[in-house]
Amino acid sequence: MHFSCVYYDGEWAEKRAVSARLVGSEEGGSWEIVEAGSNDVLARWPAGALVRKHARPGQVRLSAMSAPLGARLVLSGSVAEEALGAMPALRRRTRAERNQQALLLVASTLLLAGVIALYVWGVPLAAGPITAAMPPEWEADLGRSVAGQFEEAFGEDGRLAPCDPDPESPANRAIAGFVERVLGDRTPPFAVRVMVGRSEIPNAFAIPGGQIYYLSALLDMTESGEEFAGVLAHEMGHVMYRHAMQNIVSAAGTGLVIGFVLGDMTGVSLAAIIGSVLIDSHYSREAEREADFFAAEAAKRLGFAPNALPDLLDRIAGDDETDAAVLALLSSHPLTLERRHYLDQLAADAGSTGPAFSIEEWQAIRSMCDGGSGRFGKLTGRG
Amino acid sequence: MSDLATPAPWGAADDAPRSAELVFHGRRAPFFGLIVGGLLAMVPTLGLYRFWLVTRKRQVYWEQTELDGDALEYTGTPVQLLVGFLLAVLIFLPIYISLFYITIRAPDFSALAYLVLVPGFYFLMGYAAYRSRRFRLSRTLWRGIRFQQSGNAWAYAWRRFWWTLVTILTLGLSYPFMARSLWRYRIENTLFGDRRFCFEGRVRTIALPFYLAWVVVVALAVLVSFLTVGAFSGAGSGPDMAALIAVVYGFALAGVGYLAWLYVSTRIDTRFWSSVRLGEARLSLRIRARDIALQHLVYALALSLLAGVFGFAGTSLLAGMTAGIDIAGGAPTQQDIARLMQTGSAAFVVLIAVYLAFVGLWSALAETIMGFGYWKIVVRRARVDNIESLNSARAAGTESPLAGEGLADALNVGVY
Repeated sequence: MHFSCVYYDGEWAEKRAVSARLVGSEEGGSWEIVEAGSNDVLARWPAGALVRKHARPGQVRLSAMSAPLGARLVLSGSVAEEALGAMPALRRRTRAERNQQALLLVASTLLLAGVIALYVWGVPLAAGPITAAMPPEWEADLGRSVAGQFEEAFGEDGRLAPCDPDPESPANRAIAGFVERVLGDRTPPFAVRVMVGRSEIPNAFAIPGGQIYYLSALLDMTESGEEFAGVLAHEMGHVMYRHAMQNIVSAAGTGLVIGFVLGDMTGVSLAAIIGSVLIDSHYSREAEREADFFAAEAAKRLGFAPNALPDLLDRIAGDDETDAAVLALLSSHPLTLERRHYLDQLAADAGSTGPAFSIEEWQAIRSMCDGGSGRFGKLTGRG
Repeated sequence: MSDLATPAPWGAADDAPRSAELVFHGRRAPFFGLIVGGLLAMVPTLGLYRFWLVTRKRQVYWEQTELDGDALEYTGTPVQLLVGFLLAVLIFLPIYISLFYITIRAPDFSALAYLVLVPGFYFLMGYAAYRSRRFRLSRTLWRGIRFQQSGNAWAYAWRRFWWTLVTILTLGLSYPFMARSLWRYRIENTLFGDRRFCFEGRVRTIALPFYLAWVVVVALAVLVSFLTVGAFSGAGSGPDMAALIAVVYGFALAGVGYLAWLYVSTRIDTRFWSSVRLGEARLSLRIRARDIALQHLVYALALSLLAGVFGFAGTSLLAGMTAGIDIAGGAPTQQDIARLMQTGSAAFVVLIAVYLAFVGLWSALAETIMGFGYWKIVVRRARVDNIESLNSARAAGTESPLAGEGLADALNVGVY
């Protein structure tokens, strides 16, 4: 069996017309490469060492494990088909090689899937210890430097003014007393501070370092002391678990994993951003649940109904006037039926309940932000 | 070896000077299919298939390109790319962690850190591009001989970085010097086997087209600024009219800028590529501006079509999905979309799928029209004179770097 083809010896950049001749069987024999004119034997390739290289349709490129790196036999046209037909062992090896590549791809995909799964389910576990390993002072420092940005974003005229700056006012004393009672004998990572601030955006949030904001627009929509207490206890849950810091840690981790999958470590591509939002929303839902359970536990201990919070959330969601409301909700408080369901469940478990604040306390809190020219307006110096 | 004893090369018993054409056999339709198939395969493989796709793509580009009847061969493997990427991640990790630390500890400085990072990435991109070129060259075979690249990737990155800085400071006037310097570094550090390439391009080779275009664009920009200021301060016309005039001038300037860029870039590529020598062999090619312009036109039309189809399908889909929520009807608002996201339902998955399909088709079109098209345009009018002199080039070097290109991949520096 012999085929005429082109030969590159891998040493010199010239091509030779040769005839490849099989001596012995395709399994154990060898190919003799014989120059067309002179009949010199240029090389002998063991048939078992033959490797098929990638070539365009209609061509077959062969090399041999034992030959110089660039040595090639190139067969074209009908000769190529004929030769392949006559080399079942080579076809088997090529197929095995392709299967090996597929296997490699599957294996590395499974490995990557494992890493991602570990990440998706493991980061709430990992973010906890990583966050715990970071000194609380770091977070407090961070909180101080980002507070300005938050107050600028949510406040009026570029600053968030406290409705009632007097810490000894009845309203602020009532809030401080409530915080004390919720904490009980637990030590928070930082001092919990609550500021009821004047803003048109109905929202409440905790920033890194223990500062909690309750915005006046949300207070206007709050109809009972239990709703107020529920929100406050929920935000305190975020502080206790250091969720703000955990969020930062997990967002950084998510960016890393997404960049890894998409091969874009600069993380600027849109797909990477969308992916990050999807995965991170999972964490914030996890964190919301933890904060909800913290609030429910506090409600149970202090004896007030824990399921007032979803009523308030429903009311905000129903108010379609403000885009900001929906966006604020979307960013940190994914409202789900599931959430309402488990809060109702917790309420049922809690048994009989009473008010979270005395009538006087709730009156004082509710009227904290009433009117820029009212009683507290004078105190704040606004008018 | 009997090589020296049998010097007669195939079909060229006499060493008479001979020219050979470069030929590209690739066809668009199967190539487009290859890209789309590869992108689909990236979904179940969580993106890992991209290393296999890049390898397949290169195999096609290389093996469909023939010089003097001998096709190129790409010998790289997907696993080399994968390992290279993993190494690049190791380089990125410290940068990433220190950025994170700065964000946490000194948020006021994080803007500054990013300000340092942007030029830093630009510098690294030069490094990565050079390394990636070395990876590809050392995995390119022609007539059984592999190419090589010498030189130092850091040196190249510095050269590129400082020249860019100077070019910005000189308002582009030093660009021909930069182009010549970088071309020369790249070409003269390229070898075919043991034979080194030589670059004969000079600044004056490209100076005329470049400075001509520079003067035209700058003069026009100055003229347009004067006219715009005049239109705004003119007593006769109202502010609306002046704004309209400014927009028209702006478009005219952008149009002329594009044409100038087209003219300059095709001239520079044509003249500098035609200044490349390999021993006695000389490369010559011609890239025509109108071919590139046509390619851009086709690309723009294809993208408009794609955007139109997806825009229509996307709006209908969104309207259909929000119909159940939005009682008032009409166009879906931000709130509807927000609520849709909150439900976290299958509808959202559909939206993501549509988005991925759009991005995927976009990149397949970009690769087929721009990448593939450019390769065709370059090869179409390329030939090598004195090709017979290459017969005596000898193999040298090995595949290097062993695992490569990760940084280029990670930094989005992809060239074929």
